[in-house]
Amino acid sequence: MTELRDLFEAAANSAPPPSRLVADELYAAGRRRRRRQTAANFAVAVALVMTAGTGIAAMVSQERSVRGETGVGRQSVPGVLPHGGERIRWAGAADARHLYLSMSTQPRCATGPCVKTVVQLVGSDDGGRTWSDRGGPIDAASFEVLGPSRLLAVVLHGSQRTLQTSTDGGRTWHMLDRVPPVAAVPTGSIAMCWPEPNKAASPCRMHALDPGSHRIAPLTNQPALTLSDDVRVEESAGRLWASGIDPPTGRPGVAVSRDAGGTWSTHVFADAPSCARDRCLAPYLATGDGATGYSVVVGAQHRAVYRYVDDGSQDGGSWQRVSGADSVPADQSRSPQSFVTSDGTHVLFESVPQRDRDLDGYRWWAAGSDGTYEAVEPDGLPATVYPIRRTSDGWFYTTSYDDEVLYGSTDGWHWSPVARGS
Amino acid sequence: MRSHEDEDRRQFSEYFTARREVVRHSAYLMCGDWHWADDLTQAAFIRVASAWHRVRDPQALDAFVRTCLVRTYLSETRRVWRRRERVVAEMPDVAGGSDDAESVARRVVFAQALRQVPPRQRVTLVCRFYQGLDVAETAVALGCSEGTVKSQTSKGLATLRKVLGDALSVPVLAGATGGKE
Repeated sequence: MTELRDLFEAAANSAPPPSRLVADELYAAGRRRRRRQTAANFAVAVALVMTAGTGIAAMVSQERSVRGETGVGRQSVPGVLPHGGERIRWAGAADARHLYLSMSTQPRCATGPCVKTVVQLVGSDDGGRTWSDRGGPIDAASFEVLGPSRLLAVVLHGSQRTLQTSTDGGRTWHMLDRVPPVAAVPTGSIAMCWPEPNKAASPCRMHALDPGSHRIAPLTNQPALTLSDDVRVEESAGRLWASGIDPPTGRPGVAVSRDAGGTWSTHVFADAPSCARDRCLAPYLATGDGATGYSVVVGAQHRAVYRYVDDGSQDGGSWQRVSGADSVPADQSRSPQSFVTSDGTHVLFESVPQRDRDLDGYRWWAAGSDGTYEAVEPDGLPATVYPIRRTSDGWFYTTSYDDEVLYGSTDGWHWSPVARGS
Repeated sequence: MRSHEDEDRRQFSEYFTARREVVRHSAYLMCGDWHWADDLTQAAFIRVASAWHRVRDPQALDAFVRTCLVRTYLSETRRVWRRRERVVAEMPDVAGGSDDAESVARRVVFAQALRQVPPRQRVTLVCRFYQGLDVAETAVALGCSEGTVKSQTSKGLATLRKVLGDALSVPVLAGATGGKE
């Protein structure tokens, strides 16, 4: 007779892997949780008192909608970020509600040397209305948002870099386990680029990351390119897009996979502008909702734009040079940035000096139906912003490096501040 | 002199070290995945740490961490049905131990059978037959009535019996819905 408890005991003791949990870290997380609860309770009490004092008048006063929060609610002013006066180092979003920023933690950076990579991650689950610290200061080279509460960080340990994931919105982090290669990126996993272990200086290789189980596996078939250093791999319309350099020719190219990384179709831009003296740069990719993608290749003097069109061929599509982009001025900064608006319009960046100010900004050029580009001014978007990013559900966002404001847009044409630093 | 904060931290560390594996194994039986079990254990102990200043009795602590674990898991399973990403191509699992083939096979069959039991019934079985709780203690952990615990136990065992057949003998199941009351 087999006792039921014996069966449970045997199942529970089936070679468990070593635990990553550390008492001190959990205790610190618990203390932070308690402080948040205390603060929230206090805020609720204050809100109740204020509501009673101000009455219904405050609820019916004229309020201005903050774009990018459609369906979230209305508020009179954009959210105010914690750590007032600190710089925004990075911005990421899973959608219009789940937003993340990394804030500088080193005020003395303005006056002397400091470790700029030590940042405080802050997050908002209500479209930028309220923000909270996520964990403590962290020494991270970069972050990526993988889902509403799932994040990826490249964490620095001196000269070493490790990948860590969070499944609770950045409050706690997990190291990744490397597992054997897989043929394709499984459903629920994410394609990403990362060097092989102990080869930090080598080009990155395509991997499948499962943020839930904290496992990372290299893909069996790799794109035939020396991939760019971007950790996140562009994904749209069921395609993976990877940019890099063709090893034999040294020319820029793009590899596209229609089967989750199982096979790759590589195109090398042989007619791209001549490269700078040192080396060619990997193309800058921009995609929208559909299967159309844009690749901007910047050479020593000129830029070229290529458009990927799904033509139903065996390879799935082909790249065509967009001649109309040749008329867009090539700036000295060799800006490769571009984005695709919700209506499918391709918009190029041109770096231009700001009048009476000691910094550069951008001018935007939008492609017309005839393939020519014309200067445009997206409503509400200042010239001094970082590259514009788009969430998988089509929300656009960027931050201003001039006044530390997070901007959002539902279509790429009309922009509003979502949160500001002070 | 050691500060109050340091003393709290030391006591928590001692409790965590003593109970981590027990909690983790319970979590694994509930969810069937060691990484997820780590997350559940982490969530439970973070809640314990946040309430450390209020709960000191070891017996109460065990019940508290058990309740946190159970409710965190059940909460996540409710979200799982809607949002949790499912991995289709399975990554290799962790290698097994050095047991003989028969015990390994029995363990695998039981683990597979356990995964076919719905989450709430599975938690009930883990509380009753792995953690050795009586009906009343299980009801407290799940936040439900004792009658619900009995019915969940009965249904869970029925599922196990259906999948395992003769591997789970009748005497084991006899009166299991009553347990030590």
